[in-house]
Amino acid sequence: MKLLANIILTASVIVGAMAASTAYLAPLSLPDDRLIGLTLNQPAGLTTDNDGNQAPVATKNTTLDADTIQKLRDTSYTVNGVEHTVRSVTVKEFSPSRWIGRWVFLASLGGLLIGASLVRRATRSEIARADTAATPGAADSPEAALDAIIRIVADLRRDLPSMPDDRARLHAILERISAVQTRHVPAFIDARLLLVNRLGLGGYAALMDRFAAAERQVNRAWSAAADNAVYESLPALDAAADLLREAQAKMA
Amino acid sequence: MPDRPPTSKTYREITLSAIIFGVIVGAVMNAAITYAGLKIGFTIVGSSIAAVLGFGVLRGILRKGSILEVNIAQTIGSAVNTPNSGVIFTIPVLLLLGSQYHFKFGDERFWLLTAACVAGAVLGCAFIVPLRKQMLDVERLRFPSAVAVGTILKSPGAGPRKSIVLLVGIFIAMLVYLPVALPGIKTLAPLDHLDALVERGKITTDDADHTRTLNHWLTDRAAPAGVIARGRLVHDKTTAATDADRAVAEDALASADTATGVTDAMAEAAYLASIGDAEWSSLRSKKAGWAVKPLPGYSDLDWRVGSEIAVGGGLTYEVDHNADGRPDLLLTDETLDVGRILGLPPQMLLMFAITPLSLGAGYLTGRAGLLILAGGILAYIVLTPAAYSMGWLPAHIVASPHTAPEFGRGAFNRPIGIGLLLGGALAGVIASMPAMRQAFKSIAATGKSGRSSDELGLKVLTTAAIAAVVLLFFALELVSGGDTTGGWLGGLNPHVKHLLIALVGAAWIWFAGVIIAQCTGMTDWSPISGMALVTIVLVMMLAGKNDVVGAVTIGAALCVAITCAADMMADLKTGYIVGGSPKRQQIVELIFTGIGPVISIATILLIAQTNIQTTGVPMGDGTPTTAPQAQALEAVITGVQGGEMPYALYGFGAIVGGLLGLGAFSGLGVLVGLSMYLPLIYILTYGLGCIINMLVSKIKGKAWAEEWGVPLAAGFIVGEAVLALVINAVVLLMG
Repeated sequence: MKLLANIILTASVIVGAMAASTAYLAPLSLPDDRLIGLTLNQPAGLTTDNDGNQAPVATKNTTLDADTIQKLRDTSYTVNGVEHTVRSVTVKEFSPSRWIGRWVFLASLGGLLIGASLVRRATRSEIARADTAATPGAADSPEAALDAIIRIVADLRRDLPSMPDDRARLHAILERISAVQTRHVPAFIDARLLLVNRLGLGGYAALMDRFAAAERQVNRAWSAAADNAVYESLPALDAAADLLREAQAKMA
Repeated sequence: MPDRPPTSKTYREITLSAIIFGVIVGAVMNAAITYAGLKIGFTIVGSSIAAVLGFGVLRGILRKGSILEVNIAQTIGSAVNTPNSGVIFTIPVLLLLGSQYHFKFGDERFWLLTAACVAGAVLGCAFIVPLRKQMLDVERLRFPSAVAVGTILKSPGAGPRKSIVLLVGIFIAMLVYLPVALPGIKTLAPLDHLDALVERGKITTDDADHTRTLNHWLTDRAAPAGVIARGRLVHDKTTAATDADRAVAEDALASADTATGVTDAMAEAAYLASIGDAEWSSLRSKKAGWAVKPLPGYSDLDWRVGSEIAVGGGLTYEVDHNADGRPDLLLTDETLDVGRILGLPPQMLLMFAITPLSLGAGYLTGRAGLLILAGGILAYIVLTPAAYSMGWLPAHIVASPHTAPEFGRGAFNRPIGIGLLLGGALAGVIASMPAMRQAFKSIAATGKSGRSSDELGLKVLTTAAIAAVVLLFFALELVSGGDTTGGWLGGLNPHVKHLLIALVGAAWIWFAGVIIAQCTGMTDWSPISGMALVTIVLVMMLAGKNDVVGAVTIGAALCVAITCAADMMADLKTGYIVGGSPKRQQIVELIFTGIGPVISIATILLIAQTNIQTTGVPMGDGTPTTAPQAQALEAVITGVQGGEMPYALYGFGAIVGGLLGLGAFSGLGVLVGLSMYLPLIYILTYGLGCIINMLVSKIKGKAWAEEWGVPLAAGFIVGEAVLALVINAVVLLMG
């Protein structure tokens, strides 16, 4: 269903944009009284003089009168051996009744509505299926990713004081937090749709508020370690631990 | 956590060194980029440059900077630099539109413009503060350039291998971009190279003839009397002290004889040499009209379309679109025309810009960037060729199909794209309401609980909102003149009208700031010119078409606000990556961003006054600073006044963008609109970066693509930005 919905959406955007692009076209097939008085926003028609120089039949800002309209209707020009006639002109004024693409545009809006609702429905059922199938505590679940981050931070806070020197502490912080940044945080973030489905957008925002604050503290601990400032890394890890617990509570 | 000994050490974050360094770097970049923007229409985001310099100076030379200290320095640097984008787009319009709109140092208009832009800068930053949680914490927008800056800042701790990858990325980007940038540097052409340069299309036949004429005069140390006489009149015009004197000189010049093959610049140079005010050797200069040759670029590889000769000896249109008598280049200094290599019809554009920066930004965006590519394909591969085939384009475009992509961009792709952006952004804001509400609640709750907050509180927003309305109101009261009855609000009491415009303007700062921040966050592209356009149109519609000064003043304030809002969010993203304190970043950004508009406007006036002395006009054609971006806005203002704006296209685009946002991804309209609005050549290169990311992720795994691809892509972004700045500095220094 999702594929069908996306096809409908794509086709509707293409058709809608094409129809919209005709908004300022005035077809020369309209009766004169609907064209007279309109102002050209682009040059119209093309004539070639005896020296081979090309010039428009009517320049931009020309106000259409019966004479000009007839000249444009009578004009034909050749490009690469193909003869073209002037079927429409671009004008400054917009009128819904003159717009050749209005019905197509309206149809495309219908397509967009249908496509969007189908996409939403398909996405919802896809997430619901994934959520039902997910095993709590599985290695790739958001709970597992958050648990891993909490465990690494707790281990660091436990191990650092007993390490022989700052060099060892800094090395441990850089190495273990790098794993958090490259593996566990992306795994947690990838579960966004699942979490939104479970918690709602407001609940997800509340969870991410705490998680992001914790992640920033973890990043701070890493930066401080890279600057040989273990004295800054330690309080950052303490703050991260508190915030991670709050995030875990929001997930429950 | 077990007990640990207390420490008296403080981790370096906001320091005097960081502040001084940030302000100096920001001010220098601001002035240089303002000048470059007016001269060549080129602006760059300064964060990556400030980060690289901060890294080198604070850590390398002073040997005491921490990662977060460099982050603060880079935040201040970009805060001082960024307002120039909003200023360059708007303020020079007043210098282009005629002497009744000009302003000078110290006059009332100067102070009002400066105050409005400073207010805009501060308000833009303040307005975006409450959205940080929603955009960075909840939506986790990518901000590719901010990631690149973060990668640079983190390089000391990332290990030698990642640092090497970053440096390799910078080196490759510079190597690839060098032949793009080098032709920007032009040297005087030697006489014996003129024919070869004409043949290679580097200079015109006229350029070569002028150079030979100048050389003839230089050798003879004399020029014909008629030329000297005309040169005197030209000089009288450029040195006229008053408008009246200039008008007299222009009349005299118009009625004087013209010398065939001699430009006014050549005549003036010959006159000055003949009266001894300059050396005869001064004829050998760009100013006098001596031909210049660009340094080598990709076009020197001379890779051209196949050279089938048409019947009659000439080249066919298929081979020579621009009718210059040579087969067209497939590889220019800046682009590779894949469409022509593949034999696509000329109305179908498939051309890649040679820009490692876009490639890197695309890589950092990853799969989400494919939507950008899709929008570009919709506009240039589907929409424009379809309009061409259906006979919807004017005859002069049908006769020259290679002009169809650019025509289509201006006539419908760009307005529909801007509409999609606006509609998509509105849908995005509505869809994000629950998350925004939660973010606001979180900020408010922290303020009430007395707990140390991550960021400035809601009081700042409230104060800023009130200040915005008050400042915009007073600015309108003071600058609005002329037609106070026009516009949608024309029938109202002038004070009520100004208050309503101020309220709409304040709301617009917030909404447009959200759009720009979302776009740069999702893709790294900033639709600032589109937002500037909509801003000016909106103000002119409300205030009246003839209140140009009012529209430009308020428009400038709003444009500065919008750019600062987006810059602040990008800086906060970098801060997030390195673990900086948002509150500290927000404070320094709010304090120092007000310096930016002062420097930009002062630079513009300095250039304008120099131009008046040397050319008689402050800005635009005929001066060294053509102000291309402001000229585009000038066209918009005259377009609004002339009733040429395609409002219906904006509206229809907005409806489609809004409905697109109803699907699973509320930002879809923004992405598709952005890509319809931007030139395709950059979109394609960017899309290539996205595809490379997906391929690498598939082959080597997502973690590998992130761990090694990100530093390389970051290097691409930084390498091009740094090289572009260096080359442009050289161009500006060489005059």
